[in-house]
Amino acid sequence: MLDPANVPEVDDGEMTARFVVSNRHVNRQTGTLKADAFVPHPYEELSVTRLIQITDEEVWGVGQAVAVARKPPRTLYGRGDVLASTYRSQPNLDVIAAPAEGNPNHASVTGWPSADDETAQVMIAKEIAAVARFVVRPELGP
Amino acid sequence: MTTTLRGGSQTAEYIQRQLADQRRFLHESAALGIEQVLRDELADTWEECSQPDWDGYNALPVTTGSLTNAGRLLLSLPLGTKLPSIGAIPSGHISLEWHHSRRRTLTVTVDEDGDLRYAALLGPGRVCGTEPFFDETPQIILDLIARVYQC
Repeated sequence: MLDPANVPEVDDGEMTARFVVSNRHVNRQTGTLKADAFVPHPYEELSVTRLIQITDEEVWGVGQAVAVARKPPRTLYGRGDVLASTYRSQPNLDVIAAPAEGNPNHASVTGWPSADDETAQVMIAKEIAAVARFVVRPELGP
Repeated sequence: MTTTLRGGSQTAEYIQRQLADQRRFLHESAALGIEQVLRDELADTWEECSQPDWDGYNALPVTTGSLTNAGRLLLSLPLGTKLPSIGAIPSGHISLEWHHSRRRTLTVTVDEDGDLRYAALLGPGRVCGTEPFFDETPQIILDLIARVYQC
């Protein structure tokens, strides 16, 4: 994981992960990740994890920590991997480093339309989902 | 049972009756399909998304009004319409996704007031907007569903 004392800015070529803890965010007909997983409501920032200087085991560990910290604990189904440049290709969106306790790789996708503008948030989320790579949690995979 | 037909008008009447019966049968079959979706997917969505924070990122719980309106919208779809994948978005609204490919995909969200918000990717283009729902699927939604599956 990144050194919390030395967290670099997010590069365009960096891959980021959005953890999926609801199976309603996966289209059961196609096995694809829905835009729903990338809608930041009630916020105007989307929480993601940077996939640099981090092992696959650590990535899933962070996701698992997110899932079990909820009340009641949730199941981690997978993650949606998206390049930082993909977010930045959308109007006003940026990806900034936002280290969190236990996750120095945490980042925020900022600049989303207001949470009151659901249509605009979903439209951008669909653009993101269209290029996202859905990675199923290994324990749940075939 | 044998049906004896006398004259052209009786034949036409018989054919019309048969067609009406077949239409009714087909509609009932389709309705059963939609009822299955209502039972399974809406119930699953309610079970999973009716508590706060169901997505792990502080999502609002799905409301009964949104669930009810989504059910009404599904039942209003014309015979033969492809059924969507049902889910929810973090605002607590039910989402319906018609997905053919990465850039032929439509999401419609349904809120408790009966507003339908739609967002579609259609090749290089994108379309979004809001329509009120009055127990009939708005034509623009039907057109977008058709365009999603257009090859």
